[in-house]
Amino acid sequence: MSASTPSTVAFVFYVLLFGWIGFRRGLFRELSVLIVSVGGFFLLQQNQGLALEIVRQVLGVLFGLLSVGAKLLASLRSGGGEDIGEPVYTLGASDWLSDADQPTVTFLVWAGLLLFAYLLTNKAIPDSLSSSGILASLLGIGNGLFYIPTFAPRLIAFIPEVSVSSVSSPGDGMQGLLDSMTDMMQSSFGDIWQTLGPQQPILAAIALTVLLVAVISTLRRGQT
Amino acid sequence: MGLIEVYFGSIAGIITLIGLAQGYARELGRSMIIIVAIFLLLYVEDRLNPILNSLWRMVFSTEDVGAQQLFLSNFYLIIFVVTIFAGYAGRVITFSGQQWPMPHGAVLSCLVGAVNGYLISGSLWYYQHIYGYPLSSLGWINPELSPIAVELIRYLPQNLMPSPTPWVIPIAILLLMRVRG
Repeated sequence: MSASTPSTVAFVFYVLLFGWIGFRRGLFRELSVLIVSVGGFFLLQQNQGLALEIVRQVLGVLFGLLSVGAKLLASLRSGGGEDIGEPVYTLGASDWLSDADQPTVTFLVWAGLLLFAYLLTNKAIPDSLSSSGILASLLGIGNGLFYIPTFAPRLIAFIPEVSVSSVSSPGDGMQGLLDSMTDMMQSSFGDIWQTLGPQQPILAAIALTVLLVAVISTLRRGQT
Repeated sequence: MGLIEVYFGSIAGIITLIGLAQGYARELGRSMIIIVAIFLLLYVEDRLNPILNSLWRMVFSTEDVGAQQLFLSNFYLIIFVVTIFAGYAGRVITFSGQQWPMPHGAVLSCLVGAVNGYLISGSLWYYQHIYGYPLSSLGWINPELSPIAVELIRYLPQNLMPSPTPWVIPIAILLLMRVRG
């Protein structure tokens, strides 16, 4: 048993888990989540400032409401006739979120979007529209593989003495988007691909075959 | 001249749109043709190159490496393109059954079209790459590779499966499925 066996087993287990989730949830739900996760990730990477600004605005409204509520409560307690003085909550959203928090806020917004997409697709897409099958499993695995470079570097921060690396290099416009995608490819599929070593060609052939067979199997199902 | 990945990405995008328009039931047969073409070219390349090189020297009596690379690259390019054209213009192996209706059917058509686009544009790119981008001497493509292009080259079909043997797997399985009906 080689030193890489545990990580290989963990990876296989991870892939099987997401394949099973994809099979259970069905094709359309998994596709919707894939679009939201991949599209949302790259869009947010390109618009980190905008994401931060939106979160600040939302928090600003919440803080404003809290402040008004607190004033109202204080006024009611004092019988309404006395001066209630300074507002109880004086902190604004920008006090909580500085520009340095952009990456964190972007990641949290993306994670929230992802969670919302999972919950919404579970409720909004009926089982009849989201058929199970090999394709659904493949999409589930695709989702799982996409989460490795997005979540893993942040989870590794919990493990001592392991450095955290960024998976994206935000830039401007199309070049920034392409740079992010290259980073993503290198840090996810590139690394996974390297660990497969000499098995790469045969696994690529199997992946291509499984994909085509999965599509052909939908033809059979639709046969009249 | 734009970036090479944009050039070949556009070809893949157009083929994906063709797949969307044609439907995946027909595109699957074309996938088989493309895979067979890739297999055959990989299989004969090592055997054929010495003969083609000798033929080149015999006919043109020159040792110009650039021109020789252009000749080899164009030879494989033309054979590949003619085979693919035959696949798109003529009859192909079809699989029985009806395809899914919209919107699922459109998604699958896009998927199979994208696979075909990847295989076709990836192969065209591969035959430029291994012969040192000879079309750049004609000014048709930009030989300067961006970091993205360098990364993408690792994932060209023939670089993922450099030996012809793994390509037999999808061909055999798809033929078996076709025979079973």
